[in-house]
Amino acid sequence: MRTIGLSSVTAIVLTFLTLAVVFWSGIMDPGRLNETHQIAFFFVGFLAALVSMWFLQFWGILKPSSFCLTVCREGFEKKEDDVVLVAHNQWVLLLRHNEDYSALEIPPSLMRILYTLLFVFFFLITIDNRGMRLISEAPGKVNFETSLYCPVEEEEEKEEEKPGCRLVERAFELGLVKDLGDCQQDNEEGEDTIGEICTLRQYDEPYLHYAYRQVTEFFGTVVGNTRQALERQREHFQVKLESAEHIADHQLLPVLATPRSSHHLFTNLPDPDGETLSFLKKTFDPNHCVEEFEGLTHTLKLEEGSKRSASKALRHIYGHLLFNPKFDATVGFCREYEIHWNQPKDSCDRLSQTPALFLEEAGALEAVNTIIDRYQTNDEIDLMQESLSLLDKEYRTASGLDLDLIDDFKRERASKTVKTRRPIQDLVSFQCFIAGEDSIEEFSDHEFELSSQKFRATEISVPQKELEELYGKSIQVRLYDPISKLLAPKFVYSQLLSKQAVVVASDGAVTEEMFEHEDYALTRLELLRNSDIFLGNEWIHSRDDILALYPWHHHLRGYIKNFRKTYRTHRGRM
Amino acid sequence: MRNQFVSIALTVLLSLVSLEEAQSSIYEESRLQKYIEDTLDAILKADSKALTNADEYVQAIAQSRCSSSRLALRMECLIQEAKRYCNTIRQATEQKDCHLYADVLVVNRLSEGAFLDRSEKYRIMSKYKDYRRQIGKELLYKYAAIVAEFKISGDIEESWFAEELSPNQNLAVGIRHFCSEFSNRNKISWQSCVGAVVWFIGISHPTAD
Repeated sequence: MRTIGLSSVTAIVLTFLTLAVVFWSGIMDPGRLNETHQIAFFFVGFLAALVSMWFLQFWGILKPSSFCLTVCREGFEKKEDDVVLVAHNQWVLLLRHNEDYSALEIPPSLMRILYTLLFVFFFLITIDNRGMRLISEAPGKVNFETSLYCPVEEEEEKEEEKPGCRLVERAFELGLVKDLGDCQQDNEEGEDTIGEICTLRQYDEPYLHYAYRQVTEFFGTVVGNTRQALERQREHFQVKLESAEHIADHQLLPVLATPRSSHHLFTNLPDPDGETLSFLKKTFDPNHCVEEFEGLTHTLKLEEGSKRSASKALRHIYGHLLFNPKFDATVGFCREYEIHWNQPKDSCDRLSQTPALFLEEAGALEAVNTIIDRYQTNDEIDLMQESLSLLDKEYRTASGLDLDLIDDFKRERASKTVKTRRPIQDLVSFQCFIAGEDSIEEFSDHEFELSSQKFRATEISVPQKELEELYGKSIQVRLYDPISKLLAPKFVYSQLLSKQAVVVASDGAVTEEMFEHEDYALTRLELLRNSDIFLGNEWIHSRDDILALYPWHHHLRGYIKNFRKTYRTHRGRM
Repeated sequence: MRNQFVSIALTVLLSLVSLEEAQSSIYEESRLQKYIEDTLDAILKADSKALTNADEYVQAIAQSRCSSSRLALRMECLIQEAKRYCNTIRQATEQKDCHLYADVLVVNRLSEGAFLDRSEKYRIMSKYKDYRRQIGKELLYKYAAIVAEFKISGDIEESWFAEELSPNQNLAVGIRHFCSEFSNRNKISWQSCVGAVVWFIGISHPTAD
């Protein structure tokens, strides 16, 4: 009858299991062992030795087993506590108390080595290079701080130095000049130089001071729940409830990307694309205007005698003046602008007499009413905000509380940066471009009222005959002036705004004779940069060969930039 | 008597023909194409040393005697100086070629600002000791980009070209048309485009095929 201690049996079974896992997982693969970092090996060995020492001590593995397994033949003397595990033929495997500690045991030294090896294999399976890296980074991720600190202001990036400004900046520092002039660094428009006040803990703030602030803020909040504060909140809610519909619209309209302006140009010229193509474009590609105006060429190729030449030129110039991003930032979103083709010659008269009916027939009423409604909603929201501010003021006066110092400061600061709202006439506009019977250009204004708002429609009548006779590049230049004045009546383009060099004497101007030379033909074309076609220089119109080589981009840029500067002062978006 | 009448008639006829030719501007389509073709031939034929010398002369003059804030003065000065330089060449054909490629050199010099803006130039000048050479390199890269676009451009139409024209003639036709389209889309003038393309093709390729 042989007995063996249970601790030893456990150790042997664990050994076999571990070896099986080791071979199955392939951790003893030479390639894998080669890739494993030395630090990982060291850590595994160190950890295995530590854990095995603790395990052996804590679990009492080295002590003689309390139970043992015995293999004996049938007919043996069975004790009361014996548990028969397996019986086969004459042999019996049973579990019994190791009362006299006579069971066979693995020597303690061998047991230590065995368990240490088991833990080494265990940690080799579980800890690899990635695990090692995570363990090493863990201390850095532990944050025992409970305070939230205010973010540290990052150092402003040193702004790119403008060429040739170092000397000027040095002179400014020494006080030799009063300002930097052109070397002034550009600030973003509307940038608020006073930042938000951070109420979290400052980096150099003592803990006790921060704790005091937290306590006072807490009691302030608690005080706010007094009857007066509740009353104030009730009144606030009442005011907001009355304007609930407007608040909902105010929140919803931006989410739905509702248009923020509506500008309409009516003309009796035919649709340049034809009605069918125009309809298809609107239906299947409503945003086609964005791509169309982004890719505008400087000039159009127009066919002589085509009925749509003037229309194409009108649309081309309209797109250039307002939406081409090449020369300057666009003035608005092209989908909020619409040209209504094939309109009657007296469109502006009809608009001023029966605006709602005329706009409905033209398909523009819905768009205009959307803007007017949205504008009125904003008015209601502003009224509501004013009512709330009055209530707050009354409450503070009544309660004698001085908790709103920061709020006052914020409000004062905000009032400096709030842009004044544009009038509705800036957001909704109407123009009429009519090819008329008269022989001269005529401007006229038509005033009318729509949805309790006053509007003014500007009309220009250009001689039909002139439009029919002009083709090619000449018509395009010819139409810039009337169209720009129609859209921005205060726009004036002069030599001082042009890229053309300012000439005092007439002999400084560029003339046709300068292009009569046969030599240095390419170089002489540079003179056209000093000949702005938008300022007259009529001789260029009669020279198709020179017009074909004209530097349109050079002069268009100045024209468009100045036009848009004027346009933005009285037209825009919500 | 009869012979005198015939000779007078022929003289009058020839005068009329030459008058008509003289009245036609250099910027008229066919003449312009011929001009581009001649310019390209001049650069292809010229010795690289001659081109380099002419280029350096134009650069030096542009920075010194002909530097002016007024474009017209600058242009006139450069033309006069270029003429003076080319007139020192004795051989007539070489002199004529010199005027042609000098035209390209001058227009490229005047168009530098269209290819390299002030901030880019400043960056180069502050970074490189021999900034002039680096600027020349940067400009060549820009010219190469335009030539690459010319090569793959969908603006070129087969109908412009004719079998009876030589490769250089066809190339001149293509350059004229391409630069019309290119300058209509971009912020580079027609003559700057032609100068860039002609110069790059001329110095990069021994033949125009």
